[in-house]
Amino acid sequence: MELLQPTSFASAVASSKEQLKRISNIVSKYCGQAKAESFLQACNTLDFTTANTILDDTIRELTGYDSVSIALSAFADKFPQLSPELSNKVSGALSESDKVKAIDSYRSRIINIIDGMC
Amino acid sequence: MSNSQSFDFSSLKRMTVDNLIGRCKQYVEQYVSKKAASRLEDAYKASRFDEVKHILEVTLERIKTKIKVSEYQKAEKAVKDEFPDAKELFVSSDTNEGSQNDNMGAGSGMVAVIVIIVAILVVAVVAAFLYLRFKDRGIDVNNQTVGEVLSHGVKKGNSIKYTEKDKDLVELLHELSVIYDNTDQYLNS
Repeated sequence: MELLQPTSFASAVASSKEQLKRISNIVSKYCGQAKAESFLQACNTLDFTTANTILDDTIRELTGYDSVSIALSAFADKFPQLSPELSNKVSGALSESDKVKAIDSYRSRIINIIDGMC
Repeated sequence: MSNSQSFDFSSLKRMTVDNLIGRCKQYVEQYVSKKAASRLEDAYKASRFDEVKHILEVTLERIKTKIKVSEYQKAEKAVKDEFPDAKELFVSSDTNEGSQNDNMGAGSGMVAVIVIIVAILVVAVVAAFLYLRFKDRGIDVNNQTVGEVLSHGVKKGNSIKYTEKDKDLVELLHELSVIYDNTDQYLNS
């Protein structure tokens, strides 16, 4: 799967050091420090295949789903309060990055729901 | 007459998922192999719904190559009308919506047997897909009818548990989203 796109990977690395660092913290929490370091190293060497594989592994740990696409759809379904808009946006998105953006557009409402029910 | 009207989905919705998979097993045997049918049964009994979904998808692909495009599209249209979730299975043929519609409504009201078979298989794939969504959430979908599963089987009031993982996933997705925006700006500057 390609959460990070090969065509723009170098630009992503150049413009988003802080975000990649924060992602590596989450990778470390769920997949271990070694994998987090591998992720950052893969970004620095522009090895997008390894970087994407580690992202896939992390999402699998976070959701239990092998497929990122299914994981994101399933996550959207966990918020019936936001249905059907969120679910429709996510299931209608053609790429994984579009699914990510669709979920992120509901970020504050999702956090409010989680905080209110955790 | 629309295809959704000419296909009796109500009886299909009343079937249990057990019975639906039993029906599908016949079609898997007919269009793929006995071995695949046996694997389907084993995977279903072991709740390996990803494998169930895969075998059914392979069967659909086989059928697709053996029947007229218009016949397959009739089934597709009927299922899409009835079950919005099934849209995910038809992304590739959505671009042919115009020509597809040309084939609609010209039938006699009798749906070909093959259309029913395809529809049943598609519904089963969707059911397996939904099972996959539900199985890690502690929601028990066993013994539910196809209709209940396809309408998400979740009664209002069923509380969904959120964990720290959910919050971390939101943060991970947020960072990815920021990266996408940064990249667009970087490339456009």
